[in-house]
Amino acid sequence: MNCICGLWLALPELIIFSAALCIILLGAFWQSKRIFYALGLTFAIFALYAAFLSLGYADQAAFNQLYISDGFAKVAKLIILSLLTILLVISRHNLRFCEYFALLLLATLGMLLAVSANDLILLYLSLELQSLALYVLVAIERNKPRSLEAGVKYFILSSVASAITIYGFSLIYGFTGTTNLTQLANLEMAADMPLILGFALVLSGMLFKVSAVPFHMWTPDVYQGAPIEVTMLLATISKFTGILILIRLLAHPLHSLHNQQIIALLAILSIILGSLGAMRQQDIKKFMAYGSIAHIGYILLALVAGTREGFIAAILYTLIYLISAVGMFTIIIYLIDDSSTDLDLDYSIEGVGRRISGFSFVSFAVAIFMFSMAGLPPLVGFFAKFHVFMSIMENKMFVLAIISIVASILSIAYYLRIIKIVCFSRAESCAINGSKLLFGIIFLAAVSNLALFAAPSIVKNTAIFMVESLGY
Amino acid sequence: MEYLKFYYLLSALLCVPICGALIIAIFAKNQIAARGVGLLFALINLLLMIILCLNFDRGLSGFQFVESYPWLADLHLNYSLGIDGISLLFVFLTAVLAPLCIAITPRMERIRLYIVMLLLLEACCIGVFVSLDLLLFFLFFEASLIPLFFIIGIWGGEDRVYASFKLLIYTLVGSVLFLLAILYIRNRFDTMNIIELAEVLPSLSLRTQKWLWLAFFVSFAIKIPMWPVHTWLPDAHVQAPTAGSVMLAGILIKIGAYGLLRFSLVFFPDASRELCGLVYLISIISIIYISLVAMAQQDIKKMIAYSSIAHMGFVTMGIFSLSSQALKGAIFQMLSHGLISSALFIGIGTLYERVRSRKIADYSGMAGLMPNGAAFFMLFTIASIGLPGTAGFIGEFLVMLGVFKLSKLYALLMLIGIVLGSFYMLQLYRRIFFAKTKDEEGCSTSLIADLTRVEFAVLMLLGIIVVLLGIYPSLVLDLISTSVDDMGIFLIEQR
Repeated sequence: MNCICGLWLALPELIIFSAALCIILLGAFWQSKRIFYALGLTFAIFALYAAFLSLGYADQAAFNQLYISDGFAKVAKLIILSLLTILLVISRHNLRFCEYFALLLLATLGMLLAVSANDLILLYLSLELQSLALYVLVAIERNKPRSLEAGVKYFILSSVASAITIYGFSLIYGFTGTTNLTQLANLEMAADMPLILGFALVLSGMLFKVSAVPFHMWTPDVYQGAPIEVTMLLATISKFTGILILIRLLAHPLHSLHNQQIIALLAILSIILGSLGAMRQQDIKKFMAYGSIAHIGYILLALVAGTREGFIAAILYTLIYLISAVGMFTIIIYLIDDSSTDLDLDYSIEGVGRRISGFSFVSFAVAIFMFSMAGLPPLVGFFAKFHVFMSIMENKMFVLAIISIVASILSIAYYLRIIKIVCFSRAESCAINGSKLLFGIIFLAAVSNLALFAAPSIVKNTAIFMVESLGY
Repeated sequence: MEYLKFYYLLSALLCVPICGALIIAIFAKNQIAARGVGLLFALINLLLMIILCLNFDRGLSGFQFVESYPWLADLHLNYSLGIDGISLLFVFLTAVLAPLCIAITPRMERIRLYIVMLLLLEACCIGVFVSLDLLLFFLFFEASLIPLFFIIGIWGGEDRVYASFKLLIYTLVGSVLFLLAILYIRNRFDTMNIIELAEVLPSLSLRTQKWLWLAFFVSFAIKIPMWPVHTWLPDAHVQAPTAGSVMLAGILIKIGAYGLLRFSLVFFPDASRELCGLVYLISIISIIYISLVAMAQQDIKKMIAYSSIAHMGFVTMGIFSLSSQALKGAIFQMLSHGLISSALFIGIGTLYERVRSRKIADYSGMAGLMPNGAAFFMLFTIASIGLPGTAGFIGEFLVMLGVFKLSKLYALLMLIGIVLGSFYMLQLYRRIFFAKTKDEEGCSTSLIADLTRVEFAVLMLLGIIVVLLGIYPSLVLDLISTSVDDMGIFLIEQR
C-alpha cells in the first residue's frame, strides 16, 4: 500500500483542505474579505482541475482500503467542485468573514471525502465534518434570530440523525465483523433482525441528510433561516452528496437488505407532502425546501427497484435537478443583490415576483427552471422524470407508477404558481441592474436546460458512467 | 434523386418558426418590427409548405419525406419525421393559420414576446403532426401547452390566470395517462416508431388493448375536448387573445382527434371496435347537450367555443364509425372546422377591437356599421351550420352517411344537433348584426369602422378556401383517400 500514491489520489481533497487552513490562518491577520474570496476561488479552481485530471487515472483504493477513487467518486468530485466554484463566485456579492469561506471549504471537504469513502468509519467522519461546518454556516448571521434558530434546530436534529447513523453502523459492524464497504458487498448477509435494524437506522440517517419524509421537518426552517448562499449549499451540494452516498450504500454493501416497500412508501409520501407543502408557501426559500423534498421523493422512487436503470435514473434526476436549483438560487441572489439598499431582505415569493416585475430575461429564466422542475418538455427536466417513471415501469410496479405519476400533477401545480406570480403580472417593467456574473450563471443554467433537452445523452452518459463504475 | 433535395423539408418546417422566434427574441428591438419579422418567417414556412405540397405524391401509400435520427438511443427515442395525406392536411392548416394570426395581431404590450410565442406554438403544432415517433409526438403534444399557457396567461382577459391554469392542468392530467401508456408500450416492445407499433400493437390481448385505449382516449378526449372534460375550453377561449383562440380552435383541439385516428384506431383496432359504443354515447352528448349549452350563452366567444365542442362531436363520431367514408368525413370536418372556427374567432376579434365587449347584449345592428364584416360573418356562420356549398357541409354530410349506415337513431340524434347548431348560430348573427343600432351610445358607434385592409384580406382568404372546399371537396378527399385506405384495411374487414 503506497501512501504517497494515496495522497496523490486525494489531491482535490488536499487542495481544499489546505485552502481552508490558509484562510483560517490568514484570517487572523487580515481583515480584507476580498482576499479570502479570491483565495477560496483560486484553490477551488485548482481542486477542480485536479479532479478533472484524476479522471484519467485508473480506479484505485488507498489508505488501507479506507478510501476509494473510482469513476463514481471522480465524477462526483468534479460536480461537487464545479458547484463549489459557482457558489464561491456567487458569494462575492455578499462577502462575509474569513470563517464563512473556511467553513464552506471544510464542508465541501467533508462531502468530497464522503463520496470517496470506502469504509463506514471514514464515511461517518466525513459526514460529521460536513455537518459540523454546516451547523456554523447556517447560524453564521449571528445577529439574526432566525439564522440562530435555524442553526440550533439543525444542530440538534442533525446530531440525533448522526447518532442514529453511527448506531446503525455499529450494528452492521457487530454482525458482519467489518466496516469496509468492499468486504460488506462480498458478504452474504442474511436478513437477520439486528442487520435489518442496522440498515433501517443507516437509512434513516441518510434520509435525514437528503430530507426525505418523515425526516424532512428541519428542511423548511433551516432553509429559511440560513443565509441564502448556505441554503444553496444545503440544497445543491449537500443534497447531491447525500444521494450519492445513499446510492453507493444501496448499490452493493447493503443491497441484500434493501427493502422496496419502505422506500416506495417514503418516496410517495415525500412527493405528496413536498408538493402540498410547497403549494401554500409564501417564502421562496421555504418553497424551494418543500420543492426539494418532492424531488427527493422522485429520486427515491428511482432507487426503489435497486436496479441499474434505477440508479441511472436517480443520478440523472439529481444532476438535472442541480441545474435548475442552481439557476433558481442564483436568480434569488441576483434579485437580492440588486435591492441591496434595504437591509431586511424580503424573501417572500410576492416580493421576488415584484422585483422581477415586467418581462425580462430573468422572469423567462424563472419560467424555464420551474417548467423544467415540473418536468415539461421541451426542457431537460422532462427526461429526468421520464427516466424515473421508466425505471419503475421496467420493474413492473404498475400501481406505484400510477400513484407517482398522478402525484406528479400535484407537483406541477405549485410550480405554475411561481410562473404566474413572476410572468403574469402586468406591472411596469423595470430594468434590473444586477451583476453581470450572476446573470451569466443564470443564462448558462437556462440555456443548458434547453440544450440538454436536445442532447440528453450528455447527462445520461455521465450517469451511466457513474453507475457502471459501481459495478452495474 | 429528385426527392433528395427535399429531404430536410419537414425539419425545415420545424426549424423556420423556431429560428424566427430566436431571431425576434434576440435581435428585434423594435416592437413593431417584431411583427413584420414574425410574419416573414411564418410566410417562409407557408412557402415551404407549398413546396412540400407540390412534391407530395398523393398516390403513394405510407409516409413520405421521412427522416430519422436517434435522439436518445437507449430510450428508443428517435427524431423521426414523416408525412402522409392526413398529416399533410393539418400541417397545411397550421402553416396557413400561423401567418394569419400574426397578421391580425393588434398593437399591444410586449408584442415581441407574443410573436415569439406564436411562432413557437406553430413549430410545436407542426411537430405534433409530422412526428413518426410516439414519444416525439408526446413531447410536441406537451410542449405546445407552454406557449399557449403564456399566450393566455399574459395577454388574456381578466380571468386569464384561472383559464390558463385550467387549460394546463386539464391537459396535463390527460397526458399523464398517455405517458403511462407510452411507458408501458416502450417497456413491452422496445420501439416507439409509429409504423412499427402499428404492426405489433394490434396483437396485444384485448384486455391490455382496452386499458391502453382508455389511457389514450382520456388524454385525447380532454384535448378535443369531449363532454364531460370540456370545461377548460370555453374558459380558455374567452380569456385568450384572438390569435390564441384561432390557434386553439384551428389547430390545438384537432390534435386530440388526430391522435385518436392516428393512434387509438390503428394501434388498438379490437379495443376500438369494443369500446366505440362509449365514444358514440359521449359524442352524441357532446353534440346535443353542448349545443343546448351554447344556446344559453351570453358571451360570443363562449358560444363559438361550445359550438366547437359540438362540432368535434361529429369528428369523433366519424372516426369511430369505423367506415372509410365517415373517417374521410371526420378528417374533412376537422379541416373545415379549423378554417371556419378560426375565421369566426378572427371575426369576433375584429368586433372586440371596435366595441371592447364580448357580451352579445352589447352589440346590435353591426351590419349597418361594418357591412363587409357582416358579410364575412354571414359566410362563416352558414359554413358553420353546414350549408351546402361551404366546406362545413361536406364533412358533416360524409360523417352522417357513415353514421346512418351504422344506426339510424344516432343519425337522427346528430341531425337534431345540426338543427340546434343552426338555431344558435343564426340567433347569434341576428342579435349582433341585425336589429337597430344602439343610438343612445352614439359616441361609441360612430367610431366603429368597417374592416381594415388586413382583416379584409385575412377573412377573404379564409372565405375563399372555405367556399372552394365546399364546391370542390375532392381537392382534399383525394389527398387523404390513400392514407385512409392504408388505415382502412381493418375497417373493411369489419364490415
